[in-house]
Amino acid sequence: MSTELVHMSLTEVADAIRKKKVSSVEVTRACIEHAERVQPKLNCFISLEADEALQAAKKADQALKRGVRAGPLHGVPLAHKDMYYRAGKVSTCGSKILRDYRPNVTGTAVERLAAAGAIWLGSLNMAEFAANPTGHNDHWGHCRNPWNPAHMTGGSSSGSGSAVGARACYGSLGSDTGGSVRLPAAACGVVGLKPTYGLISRYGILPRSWSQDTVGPLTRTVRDCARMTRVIAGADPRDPTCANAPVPNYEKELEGRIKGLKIGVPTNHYYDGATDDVRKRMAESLAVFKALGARIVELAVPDPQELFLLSATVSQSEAAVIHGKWIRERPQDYSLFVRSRIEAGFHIPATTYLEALNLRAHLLAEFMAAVYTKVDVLHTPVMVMPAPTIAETEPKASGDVTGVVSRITRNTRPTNYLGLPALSVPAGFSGNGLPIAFQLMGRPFSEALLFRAAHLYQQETDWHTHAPNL
Amino acid sequence: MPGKVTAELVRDHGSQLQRLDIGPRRADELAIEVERLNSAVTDAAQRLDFNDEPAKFSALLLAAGQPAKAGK
Repeated sequence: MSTELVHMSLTEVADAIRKKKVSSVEVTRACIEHAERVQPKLNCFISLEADEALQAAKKADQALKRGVRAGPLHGVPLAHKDMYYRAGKVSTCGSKILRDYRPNVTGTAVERLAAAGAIWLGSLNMAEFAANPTGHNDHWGHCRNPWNPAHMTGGSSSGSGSAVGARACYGSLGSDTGGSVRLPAAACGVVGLKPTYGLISRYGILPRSWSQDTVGPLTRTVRDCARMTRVIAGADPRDPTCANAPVPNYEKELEGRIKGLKIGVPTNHYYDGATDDVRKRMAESLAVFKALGARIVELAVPDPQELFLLSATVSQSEAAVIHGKWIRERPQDYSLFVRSRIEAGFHIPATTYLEALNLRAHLLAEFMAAVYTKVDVLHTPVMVMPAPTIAETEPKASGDVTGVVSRITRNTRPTNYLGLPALSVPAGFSGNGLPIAFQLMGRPFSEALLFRAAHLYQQETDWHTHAPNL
Repeated sequence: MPGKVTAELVRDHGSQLQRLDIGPRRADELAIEVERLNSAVTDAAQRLDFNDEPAKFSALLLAAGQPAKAGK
């Protein structure tokens, strides 16, 4: 029974709890037992709060008996990247420096999940200070890919990808500044949303780069992702960058069709260096969309490498401010990788940083004109190769870091600079059994359309139902 | 022709403006990275106008935002 429970999707288990076919305590206990079983292999949790979670599950069951249902996540156990603040509770942010940090605020996304009835199962491993796309962590131990523990999870939301992929929780909050939701989602075979900048409040989370940080869910299915997004999205006076716009009912919007949808496939950049496995899976997924009535349109997109470099300029400059005090006073407490990624920011002139910010509106307008007047969504590989091994992506010296980052984030980072939404979706496996994923990118605030297209794809395929053998 | 960012510049900037002591080898690496980023921005900045400001980006995102209506 417990094995069956952990293999249900978030929406399936939420509905089963609502209909009292299963209790939250049973579900939560099944997750805890499974998490304890996989943790020695994957190191996906930083802390598993078993007793507190079971107490909360018991209260959820009692409430349901009284006819009180908190919301669409009532009694569902979730676990989150260890950078989502809860007042008085430790948030390590994957670091040595904040090992005992207890923030005095609670994140808006966390509050909204709790209000919808979700159970906090534990805090998940992550790249130190959310600053590493491999997901490695020298302080808390590397998180492992559930499909092959010798391979990287992708990062920085490493534990989120690993735990959701391993079926140790039903969904997870990650964060995406340059690909940190989409990369672990792709590498671990789950769905991950990088929302439009401003859709979801960033209040009460660790900052990485204020201008590009986004909060995004990782789940097993698109429907799960749509439900979590609906719960956490929307205006928040505590985050002034958050848009004051109504949030669609994403789950309801899944029911439409995509006949006539124009899907753009870039002829430049996004396939450079792609392996045969990746090319094959991309072609297969496009064939599915075509069969669903979409039109595939090849087009050249504005230079993503330029967007990549402007994005890096902004994130390094902002990270140097966020970490300035610690880099000066205790540089030895950073890993080589993360320190190396921050240092250049100290030497970028303020005028260059501000020019990079001012250029965003121009480049967004150019991108919209060149791409989204011709197509509705873009379809590209998330990574041009399956997840490399941990050994292959471990920098030996500071000079290696830029190359590792560029190789992994080349297809994800440009989107963060433009603030546009992107959804990572499992699209099959490589010859050596590792997940491969495509991303659908769209116009600002077009998450409903991305969800619909990806959901219809999942109705025609079963990649999202494959689970690793752990 | 403007000169490239040098390791000496990075070391001097680090010690005099940022209170950072940077070794020669690391300064070499940082000079290459700073040059790469700074050049990319400076080249792209030909597009800028004196009326630009960072908040225009968020305004454009909102203006370009569309409710879910594509697809049939």
